[in-house]
Amino acid sequence: MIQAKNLKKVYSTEEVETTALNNVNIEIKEGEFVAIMGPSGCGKSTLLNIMGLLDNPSDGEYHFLGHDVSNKTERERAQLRKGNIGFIFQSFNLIDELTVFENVELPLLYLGMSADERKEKAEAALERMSMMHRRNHFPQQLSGGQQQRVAIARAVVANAKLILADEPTGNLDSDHGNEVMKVLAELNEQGTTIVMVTHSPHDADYAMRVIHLFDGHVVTENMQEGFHV
Amino acid sequence: MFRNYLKITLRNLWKNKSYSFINIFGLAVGLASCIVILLYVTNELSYDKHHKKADRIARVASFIDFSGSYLELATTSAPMGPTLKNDYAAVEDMVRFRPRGEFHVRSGDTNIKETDIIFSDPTVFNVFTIPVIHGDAETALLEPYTMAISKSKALKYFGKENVVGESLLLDDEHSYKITAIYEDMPPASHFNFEFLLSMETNSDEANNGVWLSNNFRTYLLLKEGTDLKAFEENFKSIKKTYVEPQLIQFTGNGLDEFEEAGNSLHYQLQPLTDIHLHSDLVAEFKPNGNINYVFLFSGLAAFILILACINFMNLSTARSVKRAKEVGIRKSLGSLRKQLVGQFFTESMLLCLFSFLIALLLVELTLPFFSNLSGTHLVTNYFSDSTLITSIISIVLITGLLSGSYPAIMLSGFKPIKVLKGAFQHKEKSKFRSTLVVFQFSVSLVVIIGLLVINKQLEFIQNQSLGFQKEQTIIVHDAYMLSSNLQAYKDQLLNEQEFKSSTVSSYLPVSGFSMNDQTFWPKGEDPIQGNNSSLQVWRVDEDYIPTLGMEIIEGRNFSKERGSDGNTVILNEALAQRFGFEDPVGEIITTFTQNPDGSFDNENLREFTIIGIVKNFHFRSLKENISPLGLFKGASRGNVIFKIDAKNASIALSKLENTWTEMAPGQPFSYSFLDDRFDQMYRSENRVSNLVFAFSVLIIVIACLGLFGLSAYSAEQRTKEIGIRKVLGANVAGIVSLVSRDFIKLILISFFIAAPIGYFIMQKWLTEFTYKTNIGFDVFLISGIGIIVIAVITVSWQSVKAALANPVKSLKSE
Ligand SMILES: Nc1ncnc2c1ncn2[C@@H]1O[C@H](COP(=O)(O)OP(=O)(O)O)[C@@H](O)[C@H]1O
Ligand SMILES: [Mg+2]
Repeated sequence: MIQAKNLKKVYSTEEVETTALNNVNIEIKEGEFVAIMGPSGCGKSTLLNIMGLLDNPSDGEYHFLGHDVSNKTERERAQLRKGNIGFIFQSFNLIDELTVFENVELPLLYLGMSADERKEKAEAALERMSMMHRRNHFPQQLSGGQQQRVAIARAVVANAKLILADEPTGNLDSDHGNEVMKVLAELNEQGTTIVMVTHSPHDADYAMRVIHLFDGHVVTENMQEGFHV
Repeated sequence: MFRNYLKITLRNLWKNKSYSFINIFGLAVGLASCIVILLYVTNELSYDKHHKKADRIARVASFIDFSGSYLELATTSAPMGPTLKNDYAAVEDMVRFRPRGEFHVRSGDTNIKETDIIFSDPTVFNVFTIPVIHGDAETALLEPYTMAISKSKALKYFGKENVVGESLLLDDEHSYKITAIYEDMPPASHFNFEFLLSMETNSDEANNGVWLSNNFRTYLLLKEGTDLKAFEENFKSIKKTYVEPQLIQFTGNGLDEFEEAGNSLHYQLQPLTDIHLHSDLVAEFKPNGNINYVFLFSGLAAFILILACINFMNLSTARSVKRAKEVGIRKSLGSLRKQLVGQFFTESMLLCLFSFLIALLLVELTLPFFSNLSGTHLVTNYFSDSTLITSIISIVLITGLLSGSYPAIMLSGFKPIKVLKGAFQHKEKSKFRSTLVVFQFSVSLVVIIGLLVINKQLEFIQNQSLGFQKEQTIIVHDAYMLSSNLQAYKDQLLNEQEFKSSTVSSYLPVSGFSMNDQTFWPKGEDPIQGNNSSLQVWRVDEDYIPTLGMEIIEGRNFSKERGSDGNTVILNEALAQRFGFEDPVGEIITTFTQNPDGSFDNENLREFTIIGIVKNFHFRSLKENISPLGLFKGASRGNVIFKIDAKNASIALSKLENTWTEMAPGQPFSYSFLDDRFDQMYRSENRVSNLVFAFSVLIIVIACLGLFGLSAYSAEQRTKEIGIRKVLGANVAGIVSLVSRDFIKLILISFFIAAPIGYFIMQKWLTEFTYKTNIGFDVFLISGIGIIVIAVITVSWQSVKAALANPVKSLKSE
């Protein structure tokens, strides 16, 4: 599903050039659950953004679902992203002015689905995350764990093949964190590919494979033997 | 998708009520101003277009430069119209109007003074579109002493519409038979006659064949496709064939010599539909509009709208940090940039639509006020004119697009990764915003400077030494109605303590009264080649100069004895100078006599001995130079003028009226105050001043609303910084100045941009006046300090609030 070859990402500002990624080679197959770990500032988010087609690498090749996307325009990337990739963020990133239901429905709007279809799918996704009873609430009225569950519902509502999660439990206490991790593991069970950035070894245990980044380089990649379910 | 945008928009509006208010209210005011101005402009441009043949009608104007006086006349000579129609195939028809002033119109006991009354050729109904309801348009005005009257006058005098065959008595002298009733002329017309009297009544003058006297407003109906400029060439041969022989007869010289002596005479055609906005000649039917004011007000309205759009842009970009997150999320969920652009435009369009609805309401509320200020009669009949309605719709659309453009482009361009990183550190892109604020305040300042200069000039006019005293002077009109009682009326009132002095004359040094000029030259010189001048000839009595507070600077006033001073004159300084008299008293000036039909008799000359010189007094608008004028002793019984005691105006008025009713029973009493009549000469300047004042208030309010919003935002953004500073010991004043400083800097920059622009524009405006004030330092001082005070109050409102906030609160919430 994902092949990255010699990925390089350099941020240049007026004063300094930061090499966020250097020579990163990664391959991720359909159905995998991969965790990316590493100290703050080592380039985890940068890697995830490139995988999620939110950003272009400075150098190297990146193939997503068989398309070479390393040099596509923003517009082309947006088209490919639609419906294929779902994002989950540490800070949830729900739109405050929209209700739970409207937030979840949003990706379907951009896919141009009919109202009935949207309703059916969004409700199904909320049901799956046990958030139906909160469908008419606004994000500010929910706890962090609930907000993150809404965000997950939004990520999966369009049947995304790949879910990218950047520290999804980072803002949650351990109970809520575990809840979220269970949901992700379940999704993976049902066939969704998941790539997750995390600081927590406990969360990483849910993954099949852990990639350790340090200073923009892949340090080790190890398969987890008996990972939790 | 649209519903989603709609929801977001409405919820955002609701959540940020003060921003929404500033945006919607500002745009509503902007749109309302634009709509009002559009109504005004549409009305100004619609003048005389209701005439079906309007595009083929033109008026003959005469431009005469003779013996030092230059006249641009809306009139021409009596034979001009008939001759053109007779000699040129291109002239399909023509009509002439000849006003003879006001008439008292009587039907039974009703006797009312009417002003919109005119002698007209019978062709008036063919050339112009004046629908005749009763009677026959073809034959209505053929006979002498026949008249056509408007529907509303028919109702007023007879209480019914069809009054064909009835009669009205004019000035208790002549009875006119009513032959036709026509629909009232619409207000958007450069003439509005209520009574058309047949020209045949006045046939002596109408058929007199005198080319050198210009008293007839003449309109030509030209054949389809006639080119006006080309047709004007014909005036050369008209001059040669008809005017020159009379010129030779009158002056002894032909056209060439006439022109060599520095004189000129030419005729022009004015397209009918240009008259209202482009013509400002002597003897217009009523004060016309002014294309410059159309431009001025359109410009001001456009500025108000632009300023409101700028507020919209400024506030929405200031809030971009908040919106950026939404943009990032939407993008990560698959929104294309163009969809976001669409979303933000939808928002601005919706906002604009709300504003538009409020604007419509504001227009309804303010239109009567504006009509009053601008002296026009405007109605909100949006669908009467397709250009009007399309203009309004386009303005609303353009406003939506314009105000949405910058936020749409800027916000939709945010890169999702940057925005979604959690706390989005938005680098203040405030340069653009500052530029817009500077623009807003520069415009405001230019308008304020304009306003101050206009008011300064009006004040200057009020305080100008006029050479006569306009205060406490009552003019009783139509003194001739007292007939033989005139002297008794005057004497009886002068016995009362309220009245100090009194004089009888038709001539007054304000507009709206008789003017009469004639050519004079020093005795013994050649009237054409030599030292000559046209001179205002005013017939007054010996009380005129003292009653009006004029000053004799040499020689003497007329003496009281009846019959004396018959061939004497008191000149103003202007003529004395022009003729170069060293010691004018005792010199003699000469003029032609005039035949009864208005032509000149150059065989019999008249001579007048100068007995005194009166100090120059302004007898026209201060836009014009004081030209030569002579006071002649003689009867002109237009008005009795009383100088009264300051305290007793109302008692004086009732005495004037009571005595009038006794001595002129059945005749209407009418009066005016000299200083009111004086103010009327500057009505158009006063109007402009009022309108500019109204607009400048709006402009300043909108600019301040924007500033208020921005400073609120800036204070909000800096809450944490302010909190820390306070913890570290900063005081309130320090913090207020911290937050306000940047804005005050912008206002100062605006001032330096606006001052020269304002100076330049107003200097130009002042050139219209011969007697004018100077744009002093005070104008800039007042406008500069004024705007800074307003801005400081606006800004510190927010910064004081921020400075007074409890720092613990603001720091904890982070
Ligand atoms: N937009 C950017 N501009 C400049 N430097 C950046 C930008 N984003 C990230 N970086 C730098 O790149 C490096 C990697 O960042 P990131 O991928 O966010 O790290 P992580 O997610 O592992 O904490 C850091 O040194 C960070 O400062
Ligand atoms: Mg990160």
